[in-house]
Amino acid sequence: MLKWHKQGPAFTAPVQLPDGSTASVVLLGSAANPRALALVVPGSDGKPASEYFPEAASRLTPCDLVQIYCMQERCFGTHGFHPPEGGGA
Amino acid sequence: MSKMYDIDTLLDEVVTLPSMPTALEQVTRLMNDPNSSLSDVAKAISGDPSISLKTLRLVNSAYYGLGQEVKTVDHAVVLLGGKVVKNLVLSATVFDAIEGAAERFILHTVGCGVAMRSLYKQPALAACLESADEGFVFGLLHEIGRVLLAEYLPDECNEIGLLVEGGMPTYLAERQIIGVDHAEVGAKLAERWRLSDHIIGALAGQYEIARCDERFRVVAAYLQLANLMCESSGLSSERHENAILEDSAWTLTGMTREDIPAVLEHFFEARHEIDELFSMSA
Repeated sequence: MLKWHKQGPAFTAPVQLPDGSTASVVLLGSAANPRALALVVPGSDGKPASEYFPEAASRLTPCDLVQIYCMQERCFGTHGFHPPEGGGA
Repeated sequence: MSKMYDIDTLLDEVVTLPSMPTALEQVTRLMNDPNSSLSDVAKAISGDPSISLKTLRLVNSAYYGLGQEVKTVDHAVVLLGGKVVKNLVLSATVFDAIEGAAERFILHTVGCGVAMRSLYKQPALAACLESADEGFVFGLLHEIGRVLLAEYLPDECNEIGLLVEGGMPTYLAERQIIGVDHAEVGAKLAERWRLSDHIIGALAGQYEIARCDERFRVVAAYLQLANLMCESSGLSSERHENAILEDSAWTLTGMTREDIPAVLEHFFEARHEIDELFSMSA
């Protein structure tokens, strides 16, 4: 399962893309904010580029997506799920 | 080094599967008897005070959302009808069986029940089950084998716990330490309780779709998804989450990536039901 880390106000986790490269999922807020969930991918020029969800979802496995949306709910949602202890999971 | 078993040796030498609880046995028999009445079913449930109490608590929970207080088993049976009551009694029986287990385990079990019920909206799952309640029962039962392993093989379960903390999925750790996993044990219990072939088959094959009988693969696939939803939401039976969702399982669900947010939202909205149901066994 994804390994989450707390970085300031954000939660991040490395994910593998279909081409085998590694990207980072960055969670910054609730699902109500379309800019609160991004996939940071290595750009062709070496600079990281951000792609937002749901557009970025096509690059991830369903298993990863379930974990990402659930973590967003845990950390920023309103239904009473608990955020991970110690900031990571 | 722990002794390794196959499922038959384990059941012969170590684990004694509990008999089918009387109330469940009687309700099952009455449901198959065309000459029985709902009043007979109510009487069978009332004969077991613990199951009666849990049945009433379930009926009056937000999960059932009846909007009226049900004070007697007779009333519950008349209100819900025989088929619903059978799943209700089975649920009450599972709650009884897991009473006293670790809170984390109970929360996960209940969470998976609620997740399976929320997934019933998906056409592929709905085509395999009689009702959303049946989905709830599948979720409740999916790790019942762990209760038995913990009771009869506590030292081995501690060793399994260490492997799980290292990142190994529980069922693989169980196979490594004992030779058998909790899914096989749970399926044998379901067989002893004469539950449906569907439940037995899906429980047995829930972690490896390729090893699951083809007839039960869709339900097994949804069990993987429900398990992943719970673990990802912090409702894990272990301190370390290790759920899987095989590619083949995802394909069997018939869902697309675009379906995931709405499916999860439906599950998230049921969070208060999980807490209420949890309080029945914790």
